Amino acid sequence: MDSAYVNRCLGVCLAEGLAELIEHRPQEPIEYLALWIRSYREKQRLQEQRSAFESRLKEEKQRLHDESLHQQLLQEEQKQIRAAQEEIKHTEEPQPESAEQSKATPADSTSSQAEEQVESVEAPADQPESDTVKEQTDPALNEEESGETAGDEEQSAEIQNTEQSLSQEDLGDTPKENNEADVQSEENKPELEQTEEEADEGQIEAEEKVTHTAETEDTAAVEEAGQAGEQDEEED
Amino acid sequence: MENDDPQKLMPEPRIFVERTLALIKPDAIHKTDEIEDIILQSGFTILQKRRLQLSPEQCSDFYAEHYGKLHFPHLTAFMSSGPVVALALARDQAIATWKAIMGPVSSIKARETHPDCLRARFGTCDLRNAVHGSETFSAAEREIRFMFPHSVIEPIPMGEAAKDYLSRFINPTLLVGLTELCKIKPEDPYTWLADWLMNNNPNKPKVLDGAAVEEAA
Repeated sequence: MDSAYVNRCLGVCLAEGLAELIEHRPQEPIEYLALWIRSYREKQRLQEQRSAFESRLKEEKQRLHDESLHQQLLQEEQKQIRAAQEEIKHTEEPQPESAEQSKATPADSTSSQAEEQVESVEAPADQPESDTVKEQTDPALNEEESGETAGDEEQSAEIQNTEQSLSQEDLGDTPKENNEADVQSEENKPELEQTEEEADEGQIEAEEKVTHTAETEDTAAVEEAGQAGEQDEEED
Repeated sequence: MENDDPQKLMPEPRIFVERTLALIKPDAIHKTDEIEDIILQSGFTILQKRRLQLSPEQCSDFYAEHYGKLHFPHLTAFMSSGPVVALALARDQAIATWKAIMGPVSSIKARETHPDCLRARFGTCDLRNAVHGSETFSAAEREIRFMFPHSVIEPIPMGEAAKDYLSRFINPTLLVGLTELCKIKPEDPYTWLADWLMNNNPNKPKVLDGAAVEEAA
């Protein structure tokens, strides 16, 4: 037990110390050995301190390395967040494109529905009806029967043109409509039969002109407008 | 005996260069360079060199073997009267060669029998003979250790020689110390053993403070 204790505590120290002692063979070997043991102990303490310092240094280096890695990760996350924000901005930009698409859709609807156009064209026809009706009454009284028939044809053509122009320019005003209504009532009374025949012809001519889009004189247009007014009344 | 024992006990031959100590005495200190040149031309290697002035006490320690002789006081006074140069020389058969180069102890006889030796050329009388050299192997070891305390003395004892050295000088005290260490088992065995060895060194006197106080009282 005692020898084991000495070996465990002082084995290495005594072995080295005695070897050094034999090498140097000083005059005072006991004192030399004592001083050697003290210096050995001092070296041990210094080595322990040095090793502790080195281990601490390694730990701090690892900590700094980990921190640097963490900062790199944070920077990458920031970059990703910025990229995501930019993507959001890109998604906002296509919104005007969608607006453009919305603008395009009503054009398609107008082109697709021809019947609606015809109806819209007919609606503003009410407005010129008042003027055309007034003029029709005057030429009807003045002109002969044959002249009346030719005037009717011309009037129908002009009516179609005026209808198109009105549809393009204005949709419709309330005071004009009131005037047209009064004029229509006047037209119905004097010329019921003529209006029926003219209405049929006007419809056919209107369809043709819509397809061909021909141009005619102002006076003929006025007459046509009157005929168109009659046709509209019948339809109503 | 000391010379033969290591050689006999060595199982394997080792390269070993004999060494000796040379002193240039105060009377020839001004011829140091010339003497060194002669030493180097003779095939020696100067291992260590030291210029110092010895005190009378150091001289008496150095010439302890001459204690009691008629010329001892004069020798001590002369050697401490001025600076000396100590040289550690190495060469095959260094001691014998150096003695041959120095010549007889008396400069007067040297001039008659060895006119070319150092003592004949630089010495004046028996006491002022210019140089000193070790007489024997053991004397050389002792003198080199005296002048150069930190040098390693060869040959280094190995095997039985080492055991003999330890058993003679170390083991009695160390074993007692280790026994006490095992009984007490201190926290720091190194410091404890070192202190114990310092306090129980058989080569040094013990000073009892208590006894001194009692004597004073």
